[in-house]
Amino acid sequence: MKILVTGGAGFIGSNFVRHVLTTHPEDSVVNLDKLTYAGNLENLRDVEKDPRYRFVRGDICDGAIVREAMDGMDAVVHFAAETHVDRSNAGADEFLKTNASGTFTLSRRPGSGRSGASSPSAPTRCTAASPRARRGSSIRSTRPIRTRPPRPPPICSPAPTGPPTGCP
Amino acid sequence: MIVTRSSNNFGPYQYPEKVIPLFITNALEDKPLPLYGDGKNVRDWLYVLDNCAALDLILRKGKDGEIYNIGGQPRSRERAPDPAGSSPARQAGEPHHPGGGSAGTRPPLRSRLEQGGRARLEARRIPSGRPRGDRGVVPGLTRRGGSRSSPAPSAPTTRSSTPRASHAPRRPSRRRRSCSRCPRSSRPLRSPARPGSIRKPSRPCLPTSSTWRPPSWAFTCEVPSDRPSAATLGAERWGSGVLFDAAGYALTVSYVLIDAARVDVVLRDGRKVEGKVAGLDLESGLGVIKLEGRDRGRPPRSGTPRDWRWGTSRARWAWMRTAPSSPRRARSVHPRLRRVVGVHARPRALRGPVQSRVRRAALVDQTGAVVGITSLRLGEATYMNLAIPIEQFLGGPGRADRQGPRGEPEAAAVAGTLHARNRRRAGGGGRVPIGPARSAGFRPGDRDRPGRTARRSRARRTSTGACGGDRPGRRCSSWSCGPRASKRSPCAPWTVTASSSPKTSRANLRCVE
Repeated sequence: MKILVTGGAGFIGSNFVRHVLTTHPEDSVVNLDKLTYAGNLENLRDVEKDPRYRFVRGDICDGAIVREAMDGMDAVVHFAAETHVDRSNAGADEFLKTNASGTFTLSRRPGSGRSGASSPSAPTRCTAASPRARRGSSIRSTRPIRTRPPRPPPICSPAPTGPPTGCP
Repeated sequence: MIVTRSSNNFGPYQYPEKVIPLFITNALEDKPLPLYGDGKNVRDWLYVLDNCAALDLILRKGKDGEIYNIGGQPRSRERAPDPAGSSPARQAGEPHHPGGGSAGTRPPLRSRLEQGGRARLEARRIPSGRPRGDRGVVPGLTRRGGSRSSPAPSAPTTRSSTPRASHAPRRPSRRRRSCSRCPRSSRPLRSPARPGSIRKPSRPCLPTSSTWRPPSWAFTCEVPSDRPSAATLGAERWGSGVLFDAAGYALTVSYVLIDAARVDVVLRDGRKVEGKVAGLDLESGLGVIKLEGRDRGRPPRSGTPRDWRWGTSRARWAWMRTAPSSPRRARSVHPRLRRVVGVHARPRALRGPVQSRVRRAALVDQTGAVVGITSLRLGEATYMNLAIPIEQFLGGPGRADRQGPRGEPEAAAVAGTLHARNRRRAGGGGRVPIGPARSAGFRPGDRDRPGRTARRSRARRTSTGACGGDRPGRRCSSWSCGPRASKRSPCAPWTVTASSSPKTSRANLRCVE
């Protein structure tokens, strides 16, 4: 299985890349990362020599790069996002650009490989994993991607006891 | 397309702006801990490798078009942090403890509302119960220690196909309550019926917190503001300790007690008793408090050095010999001990139950005897103050005379400091005050009260007969029998061991040269 991981140099992304490479010897991973402040290739220093791993520096908002990186991939796992709440209080531009626009760029499925993504939203990293086709069916399925309308992110329910905790 | 929603992640490679790394680094540097709101928010935390395992599972087995929530599945309701601070100093916003977090002192919390932050963030409760149909919750993932989560998943694909997070450390099996040599849990390796016979520990039992809990406690102490240490270490301090003696003596970290005028101890069950400083030693970093009043709790049995074993996270045991017959070996740290020091210094490797109140741990051997406590000294790696130097602190002879369960005097003074970075000299024994004590200006050999120093020095000189202190020109330098280090005849702290004479407790302190 060929997996494109966006934001793979970040916190969860780097752990995920390492997890996939160590637990699935047959899989290969392409890491697409812009290397902003939170991305650090040192996180993946131990796997960078792995022939199944490849790093591509690029912005997920750039359609050409995304198309090129997605070519031939079986799945896209989307971790690239701005996440820190304090930064979003200071300025939301980058958040909208990366989290909304970038996710949209990813979700415009280029070619025939099934791929998908969804909007990560701060502060909880809502990552999106896209499966390859169901077992038995072709990876190169021509079935159109099914997308659910995004639900409102707050998962907010009253505490079992005590007053409700409210929503962000 | 599949959407996943996980709760807050923590783990390796996290950017230090996030709350857990931020709190740790700020606490180490004694900076305020920024909080949104009033501190009552609750969050669900998920170890990142568990999250990765969940994503991997969803990637391969998930149903297209679904949304999956990934929660941390807490076993119990988390306690919200103490919001405004219970102490007057914290309420007044005073910088109360420049020394920082050792022995349970807490850096101040700072509300970000005061800093202009607008948002009040609340817990995003991730439902993490049993699965409803094929979506909503992915159960059966690894918890942080690598063990499976408890609820049995109804979806057949989940648990069986859950890949084990390869980075997750293997937790010593809690299910294995017994071993081949010890069919009942916590059976001591040294048989009480045959004193002197030591079984080889092939697969020893591990004491778990469910079978034994040390009578630990927490305390606050107040220091008059005109004392010199009040300016550097704060006028109010917090600490924790372990009761080790039936007379009420308990062990803690020393520098918290410097100049303490009043010590209020809160036992594990919430009762409050008064404490008095029995003694403290800045070289070893250990201090002793005597708890007043009744019902202080029952102390554990003290171990003798020969009974010590050291547990590691992988259920390996190294043990150290301090038998007088092998002085050369005793002087150096046992190779197996040396090997596990690095592992051991990591908090998760500790065998002792961690006190949630201050996150310190007592180190126990497999018989349940306390052999040490841990302390985190600021800016340094985690230190473990080993063993209980009873002789060092108790006022008069006789304490160590009491017969142990095996007809031997209970733990004689043995001490040392393990340092994760300095493995070869792990037995060297903290002679130099570090961290807050050093920054407060203390030097090796310093004592807090001049009168006490003189008395103790005299007492020491009379007590070092067995190790050559009475011979002219020879002084033992082990801190447990000589106040000052002498390079000419150093004694390894390990070599102080119990002799066979139970009547003269001081003679139990014998340095093997």
